[in-house]
Amino acid sequence: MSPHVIPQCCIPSSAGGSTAAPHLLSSVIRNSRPGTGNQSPLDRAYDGFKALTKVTHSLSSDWAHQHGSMLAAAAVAAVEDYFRTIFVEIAMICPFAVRQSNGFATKVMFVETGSREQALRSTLELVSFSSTENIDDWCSKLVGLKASKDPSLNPLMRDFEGVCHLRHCITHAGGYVSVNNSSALQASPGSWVSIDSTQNIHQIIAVLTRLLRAFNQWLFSAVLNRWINEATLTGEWNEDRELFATLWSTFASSLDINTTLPQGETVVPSNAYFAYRKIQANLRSRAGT
Amino acid sequence: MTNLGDEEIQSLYLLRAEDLDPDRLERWTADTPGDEDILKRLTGAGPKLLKGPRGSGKSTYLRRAYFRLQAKGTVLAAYINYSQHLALEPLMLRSENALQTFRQWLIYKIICALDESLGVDSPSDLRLLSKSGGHYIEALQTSMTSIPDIEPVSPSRLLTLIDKWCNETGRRRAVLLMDDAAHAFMHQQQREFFEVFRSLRSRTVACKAAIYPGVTAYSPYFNVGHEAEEIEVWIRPDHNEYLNTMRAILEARLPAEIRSKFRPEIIDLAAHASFGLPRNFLNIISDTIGGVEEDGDRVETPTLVRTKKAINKNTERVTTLFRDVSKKLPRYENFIQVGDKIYNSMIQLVQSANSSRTRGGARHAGIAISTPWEPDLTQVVSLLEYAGVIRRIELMPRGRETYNRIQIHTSLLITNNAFSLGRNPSAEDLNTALSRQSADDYVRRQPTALMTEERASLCSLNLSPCPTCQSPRVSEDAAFCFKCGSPLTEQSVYRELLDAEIDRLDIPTLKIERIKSLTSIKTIQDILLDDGGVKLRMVPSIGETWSARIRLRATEYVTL
Repeated sequence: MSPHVIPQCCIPSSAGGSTAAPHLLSSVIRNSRPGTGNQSPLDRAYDGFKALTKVTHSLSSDWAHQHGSMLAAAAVAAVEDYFRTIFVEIAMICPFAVRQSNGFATKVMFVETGSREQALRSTLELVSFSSTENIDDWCSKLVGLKASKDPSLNPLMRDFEGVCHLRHCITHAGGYVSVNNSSALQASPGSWVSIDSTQNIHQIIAVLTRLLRAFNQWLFSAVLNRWINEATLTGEWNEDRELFATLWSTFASSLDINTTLPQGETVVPSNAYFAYRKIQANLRSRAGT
Repeated sequence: MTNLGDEEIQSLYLLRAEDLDPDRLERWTADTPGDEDILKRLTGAGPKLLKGPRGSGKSTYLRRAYFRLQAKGTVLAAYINYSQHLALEPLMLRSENALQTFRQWLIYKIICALDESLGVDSPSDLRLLSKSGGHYIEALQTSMTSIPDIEPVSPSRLLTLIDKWCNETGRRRAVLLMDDAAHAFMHQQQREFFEVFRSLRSRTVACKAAIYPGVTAYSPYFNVGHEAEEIEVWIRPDHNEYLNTMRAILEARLPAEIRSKFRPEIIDLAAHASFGLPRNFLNIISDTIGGVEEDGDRVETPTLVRTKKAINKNTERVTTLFRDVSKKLPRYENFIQVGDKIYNSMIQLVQSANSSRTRGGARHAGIAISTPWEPDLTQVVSLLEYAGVIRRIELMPRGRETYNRIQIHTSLLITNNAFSLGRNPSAEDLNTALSRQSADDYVRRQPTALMTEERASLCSLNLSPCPTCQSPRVSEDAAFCFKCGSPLTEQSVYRELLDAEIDRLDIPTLKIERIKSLTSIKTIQDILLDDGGVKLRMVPSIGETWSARIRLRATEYVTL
């Protein structure tokens, strides 16, 4: 039986050109991360948010809900990138996290990369950080504490959870609010998410920025407290410089260092040494010197 | 002219219940309709929210409930005043542990209040916690840069501890009376407060909190009605017993000798003009007899002219309180400006409706605006309601439409001659005009009569520009400048308030001039730092009473 003649229901795929895929792959793959190489994970996330703020503003006169969907998804992606990067870096520099991560079960192909960093990155690629449960899980694995237990961080994580549910609806269901998302969004199942205003994107970025600032500080404190309590640091700058400076550059944001708050204050020490000076007395009193 | 004794001065000028001891509170507080019911609910089990504008008597109820429970001896009662919350704002803006710190401040304030309430009977662990808590609170409220250390106490642990303390001291249950608790406009703090409020609920512990109408935002998990019952404390000017209630308040506060100088219609006029707010009422009375602009505290004869002047001054006080919101919350400046126009429009609408009414009868004293409202109008009305300029009362269905009824502060109506009673109405004319208010006495209009297109276009938040490139903020929530990418941060309102000059305080001009020329006090902060009012008392005509009053005004200025 000969096949039926079925009419085209859309333009043939070849009509739009066929060279896109090879062109794309040859032009976007690089050997290093775009942007400034020595940026901290927080600064990278900030860069993402700044770009999104700019794009949002430039689209404001011609706004469509699709813009909102794309930008919301991109904002959450910047947060996910932050979590993956910071967890990898912690597992590389903190002696406790290094010991903890030594016991991780992972795929052989990841180990074959020959690099601890690559293996960790590949492992974390399999985890979605658009949920507070996974963030808590990895905090617990690497630093032995759960971020959501912190009373100041907890409400911010709940706000983030809300944004994650919005993103889920937008990215995976065209905005459809399923039963799974409805209670977190306090919406009825079957309703739709539509980001109809640039204001919504600013709100999403504000929620995410607050979460990252609070989390970054919390994780920095968690690691540093352990280092102080377990005598990882000695209290002598010459001896501690390398370890502390690495930790500082992992967490400190150069954007925040250079930001003066209204009424003329700066809240972030300008370099690792000045930050170290703030804990040196604690370290020395602990060491009894 | 009569000279006032110290006790009489205090009875007229100590207008805040927080400053009264149990004896004075009892002597100077009159029973009003529904009092017993409110006090019963405040002293009983179950969480309650006491709602009313400034000066409506919320603190008086909480303090009375506290002293009543204290006298009973079977319930562990604590009176907690959260009015100093703004002092934590600089830290809130600069610390990552802000919410935890705020939560500990809330909890340790309760611990200290429980210890104070039990006095010598306080269990040793409560006394210890309270001692460290006291230092912690003091340090938090005075330090703008560093957070002191304290052993964190979670709400659930506090519940367990309160249970234990009740058992140890032979009390059946505990009642926590939380004053100035709504932290108006501080969204984060409000959310945290209501989370703690919600958590402190058990068979033995009940929280009662005083909140403002219009501007209180609950946490997402807090459902009014389910989590706590709301109790309205405003004495409605259209209540049958209104005048009797206000007369009783005056009887409790004003010595008979001075009271006898008042003609009854003058007292009634002052009562009407106070819009159901006892603090406004006492202000009008004291301004009528006190001559606060002169040097000294003498009783002038309470004439109609003086009463009208006192009402005008009250109008000024109420409208200044409203306008001051923009100083305390600069981002609402545009809404306040629109609000200014809107309440003036309301007065004009009332005035023009009254001009067509026949002389001698009741007059329009409010307006009714058909629903639904746009969010901008709701925001402006909420701000006006918070300051006590207007009050929303129950909805009024008319035909196919439903109207939101709004009562306008009577002082404003009298000052602006909104009753159309001629140039110089008598007290009797005014009292008659205000004697009856039914649903027909509200001028009905559509929302657009108040919120015109032009006004709506002005309703945007007043956001400071990017500190780096001066580009405007594109949104209240923008975290970064759209142009240069600088982080957008907020400035501390509390610091601005501390740095404000003392001229901003509601105290006689002569006293301000003398303080400025004879002492080093120039700003609000200088007054707050003047321990015990030592510097203030160096000024002639400022003794213990006046220095306490000035310090009170300064404290009020830095609270919301």
